[in-house]
Amino acid sequence: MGDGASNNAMSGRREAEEYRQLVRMVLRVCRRILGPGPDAEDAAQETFERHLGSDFEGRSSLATYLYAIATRVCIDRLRKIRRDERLMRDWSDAARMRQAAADPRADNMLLVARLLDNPELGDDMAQSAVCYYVHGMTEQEISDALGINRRTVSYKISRFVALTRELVEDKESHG
Amino acid sequence: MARPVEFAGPRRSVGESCPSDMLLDCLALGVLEPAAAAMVSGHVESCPECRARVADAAAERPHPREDAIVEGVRLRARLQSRRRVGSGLPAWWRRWAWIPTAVTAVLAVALGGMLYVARHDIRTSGAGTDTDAALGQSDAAGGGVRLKGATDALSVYVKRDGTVSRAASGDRFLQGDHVQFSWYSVEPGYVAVYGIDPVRTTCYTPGSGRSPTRVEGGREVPLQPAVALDATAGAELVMALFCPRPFDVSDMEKRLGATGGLGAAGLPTDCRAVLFQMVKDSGNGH
Repeated sequence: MGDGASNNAMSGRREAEEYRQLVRMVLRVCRRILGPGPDAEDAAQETFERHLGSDFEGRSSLATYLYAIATRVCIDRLRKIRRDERLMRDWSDAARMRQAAADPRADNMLLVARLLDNPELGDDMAQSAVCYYVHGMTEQEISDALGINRRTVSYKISRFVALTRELVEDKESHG
Repeated sequence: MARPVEFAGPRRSVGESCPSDMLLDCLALGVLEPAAAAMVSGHVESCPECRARVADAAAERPHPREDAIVEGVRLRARLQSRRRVGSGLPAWWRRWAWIPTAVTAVLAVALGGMLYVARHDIRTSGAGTDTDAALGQSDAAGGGVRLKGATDALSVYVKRDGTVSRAASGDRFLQGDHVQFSWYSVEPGYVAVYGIDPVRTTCYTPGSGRSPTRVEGGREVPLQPAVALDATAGAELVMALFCPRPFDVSDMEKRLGATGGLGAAGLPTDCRAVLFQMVKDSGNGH
């Protein structure tokens, strides 16, 4: 192989490694939301499909953008899981196991999952809540990632908290 | 779900003064501005919880599907690059040196959430004889590098100037090269190989209007006919589609052409695809 081919091979390896870092990052994001397993893997795959099919204009960094897409993809997937009783039971059981291991993310995701039926929990609110409580993002980071006004982010997170309180109170009042 | 009597609401997964998971990822990727990177690094050094978060991420073992997703992303990004050339790439693309701006066109296909890619080491036959002899020298498993958990393999052999060599995904090919595909899978089924570029989709083997090639499992099978490459330059995605049952080759060719690479919804759920990137050069390649 000549120098040109060697350089191609090296730059190909470098490129693959750089992509690998992003893929690992997205896999982590998806596992935080959906737990380990094929759902998170499928969501990671879909995240890149959506990103590469989109017109990313560079409003935020690529990592930020991927976080936003991955979170949205996972929430959409969770909505689908919810529609299947068996899948939802499996997912909830797995999340409760992580909850029992004191994983605060599992706690929060169980709340989000239970609220997905609530018509007030739209995509922006769900994404804001997951970004805030699961990824630990600040309101400004969420605003940058989702492209929504910071004040709106703040409002949506407050409403999410209110909804969780209503959910818990409702459960407690019905025993 | 157990709850304290007074439910104060969900609690954040990180401390109030700790950076988000996203910031830590950006730090690891090296994409933070220097001042932000210094601030985050400084915090990590002084915070045991954040140090543990960073250490956990660094200690992650490769995931079995990671290779497949990585290859799919690379191939798809090259297609996007090709589509954007001429329209002026925004500055942020150039900041990401790993996203190629050269003209290439390939697609990623997700099948039931799984993406298989066969990568093959370049290996010469040595004998300079015909393709059948080259195939006879391949190992029983079809050679090349397989992903963990993936057993399908598409091998691509090139005959040029009387010499046969096995090509690797991403290799350059010349007009007039003769290309022979071969297939290996554990189980029997049916295979067709398509070439997909932004302009057209072609069924290389068995050819439009024909039935897919029946392959037995457990041995490498050459797929006929061999293909003489035309003069069209640029990158092309080669996709070998394997299904346990016969399928309509021409119908699939049309679907691939219409969608420019199918997502998971487009292919039969029991089929699998193996991808190979071919870069056709108008000048000197290898």
